[in-house]
Amino acid sequence: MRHIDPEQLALLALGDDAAMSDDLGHLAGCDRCRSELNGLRRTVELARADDGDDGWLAEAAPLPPPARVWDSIEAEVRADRERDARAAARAPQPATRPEPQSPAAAEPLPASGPAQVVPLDDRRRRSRTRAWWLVAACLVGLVVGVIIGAGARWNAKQAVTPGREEVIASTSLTALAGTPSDAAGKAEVVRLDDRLQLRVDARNLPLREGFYEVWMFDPGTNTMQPMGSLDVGHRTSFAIPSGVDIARFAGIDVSAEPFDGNPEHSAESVLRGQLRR
Amino acid sequence: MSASGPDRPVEDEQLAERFVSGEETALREAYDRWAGLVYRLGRRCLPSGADAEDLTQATFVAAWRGRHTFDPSRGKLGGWLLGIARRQLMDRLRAMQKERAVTEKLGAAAPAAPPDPGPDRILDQLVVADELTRLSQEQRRVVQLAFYDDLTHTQIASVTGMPLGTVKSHLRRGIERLRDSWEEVDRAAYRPRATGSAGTR
Repeated sequence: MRHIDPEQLALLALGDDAAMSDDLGHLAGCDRCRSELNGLRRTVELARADDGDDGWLAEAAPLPPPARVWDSIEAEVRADRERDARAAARAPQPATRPEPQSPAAAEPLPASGPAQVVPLDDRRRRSRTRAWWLVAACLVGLVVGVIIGAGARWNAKQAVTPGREEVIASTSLTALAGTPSDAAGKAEVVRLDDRLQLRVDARNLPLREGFYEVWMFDPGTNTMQPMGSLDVGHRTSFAIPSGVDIARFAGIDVSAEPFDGNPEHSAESVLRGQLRR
Repeated sequence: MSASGPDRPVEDEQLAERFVSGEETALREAYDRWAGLVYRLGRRCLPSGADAEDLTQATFVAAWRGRHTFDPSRGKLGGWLLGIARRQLMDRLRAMQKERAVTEKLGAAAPAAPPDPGPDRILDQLVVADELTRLSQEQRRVVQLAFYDDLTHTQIASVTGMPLGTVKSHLRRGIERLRDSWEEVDRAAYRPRATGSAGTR
């Protein structure tokens, strides 16, 4: 069978009347030409869709992202590089260590690589934090690009404006039993000049009546310090009262709370983590 | 995808190679080439400019950290990158949707719904519009006259003074290249993830 000439198909896709001919008969019986024509038609339609719209696509000179976006990316990449260099310095053996391959490497899982198998000790808290992240990630199979992206952004900000804002402790938050395993989050304690803030970001928390509350708690005594309600899906900042010792209240808990006016913890925790410096 | 149009295939392959091997200058070049598109996608689909910036940043950091998973035999760097942007966008939209559902349950005023044409379509439109700017000047002129001025190929020939055969060839090649650009992105977006994280979504 002779197929329709490709130039002719393009004209048909454009609705060029002069192109209308006896191709229609062929089209009716030929899947290949019809599918080709459909692809071209959709292309024309995608390009023309802008016309009737508010012209947003046709902006002559679309605004590029502000320079700070690149600055933040660069800061994150630099932080990755420095961390890898430190890890490499600590782990003397392989000069040609394999590049990190994390299970969801297309998403920004933080830090992978040999540090995960380095034995834990106090001098290697960073490694432990990283290992912890990876284990948590593997265990719950979470894919939380957004959170980490946002979290990394804080780091980036910190790196861009040194001295003003400093992350002094952080933890990932992982789902407790009974919570969907893709629920996850991250908490950080940030020093802003002389104030301390707790920043929490959580994703994929199940919908329910009520709200989610963030707590700092003492893992030894389970004394709970309420911080406030969580803006799910957004990084939420809480002022840490100056009387709260973050070394003691290192546990971070997110609980599901009903609207019952009872300020006490509902005993229904959904996410937990422990801050590490 | 686009950057990889017939005009610069070699440069694009080299860029992809350098990117995968961890050359940071390649990250900057990829950013210069695609960040505008990702940012516009965010501006169009997310509530605030800050969200669009965050999407752009997260996309490039994720791509960089996951660069080892890019497989040139399965697609082009641009399509792969925009596939990551699309997933990042979807994560954000899903989170917003959940919040909206919660807000609605509580009877409060819900924030605006995402724009009417779905994000996939907006991405395709952006990709096509972007690719259009990368056609050769002559080809672009012919295609634009057909798209936006609704001229037939014979009218275009008389307006531009180009031979009819040249007009037809520009139209065909131009539209096919635009088609390839969005098809590449769609393939990257719907391809099963090349990772072991099955079942997490």
